[in-house]
Amino acid sequence: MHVFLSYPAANQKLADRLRAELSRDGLSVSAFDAGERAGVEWRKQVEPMIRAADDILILVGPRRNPDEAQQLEWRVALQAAWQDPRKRLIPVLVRDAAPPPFVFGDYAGDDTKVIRLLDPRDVRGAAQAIRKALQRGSSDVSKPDSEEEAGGGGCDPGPKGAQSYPVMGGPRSQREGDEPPTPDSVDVGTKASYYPAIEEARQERVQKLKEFAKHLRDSQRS
Amino acid sequence: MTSTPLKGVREHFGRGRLAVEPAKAVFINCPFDAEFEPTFDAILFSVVCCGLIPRSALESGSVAVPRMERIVRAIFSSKYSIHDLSRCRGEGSEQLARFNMPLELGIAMARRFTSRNAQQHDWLVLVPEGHGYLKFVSDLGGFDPLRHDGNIESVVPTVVSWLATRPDVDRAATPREVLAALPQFQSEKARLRQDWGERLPWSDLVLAATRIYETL
Repeated sequence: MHVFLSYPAANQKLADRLRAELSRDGLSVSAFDAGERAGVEWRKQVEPMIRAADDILILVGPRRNPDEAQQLEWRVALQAAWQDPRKRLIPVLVRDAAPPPFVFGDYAGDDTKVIRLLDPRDVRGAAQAIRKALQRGSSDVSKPDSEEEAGGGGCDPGPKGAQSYPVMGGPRSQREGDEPPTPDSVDVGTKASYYPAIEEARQERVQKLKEFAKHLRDSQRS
Repeated sequence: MTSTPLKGVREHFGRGRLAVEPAKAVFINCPFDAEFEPTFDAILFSVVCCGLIPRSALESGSVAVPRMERIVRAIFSSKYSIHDLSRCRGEGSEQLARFNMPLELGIAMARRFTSRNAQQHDWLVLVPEGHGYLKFVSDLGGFDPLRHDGNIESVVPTVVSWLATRPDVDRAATPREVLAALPQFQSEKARLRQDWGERLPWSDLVLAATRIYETL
């Protein structure tokens, strides 16, 4: 298995440590050093790297807006996911960072994990959670029996107009045997647990468009 | 509470009650000819399917305001813009290229340096595969425009993937959804064309697209 790690320049150190930890456990991880993300040559190289990956890890820091280089990686990652429905966009969120909406645009399915690093200092725990999230078709990952258990029913919409996402996602995955449980420094949910908040944002958007459309029609009658 | 417009006074796109929040507006700077029309429709519809409002030089406006001023105002009140340079090539018996697109691209690029960080203008340039744009606008050399093969199956994923990764987009439809619904928009546009002819109002096009987007 080979993954590409996309991260903002502001989280270079965390990304380096994460990449080293994942590689140490035998996972093949490619990424582009933040200091080298410039120019046409970088653009020409990063696209095939992303397309060659089986899955793409999207590291998101608490700062909402991505830098331009990461936006380019996101765009290529999204296109790659559309072209290969098995390719997953897996958000790795630092503390209270919100998942960028585009990560929900792949075709890989609702069960794709969303990983939240409650304590980014525990890189080992983060790497462990990421490895488990990358497993495909494993029966050891417990799936929520109900929407409530997935965190969807307990989603607090937050302040009006704000995009808020549940800090606590789905149930922790555990497997009896040789792998330890997910550490307390990491929370693992599923994309499905974020859908209520996304749908609420979408409904708000549609409502605004409806109001705008009404103004348009009124202006035509006047 | 919004006020009712005065009877007989037409409201114009982008002003008053039809003001568009800049962070949700995308100025489309593309050719308007019949050959490019399917691509133009695909771009417009893709913008709407990302929950954004398309702006254009085709918007109606007061005849007292020069066209160039209306274009500049529309660009300056849009956080995003999409520019296609397909027609920057010699055409007709005089082999002249159309330079409205590069002109408006230049305005959009300048906008980036006049806006505050939170509303910094972001733009996308599209060129057909094999297009020699660097021969006549070499300053674009460092910006790597996105290429398409002229077919909407190539244009839609390119445009949607760019829009979907902008910070102001809440939820974007997938290219699959956009392409599936596009024929419906094209049919609706054809119906409107029968009513309006070549003077089809921009607002009607946007309305038609948003009605379909609401069903996705």
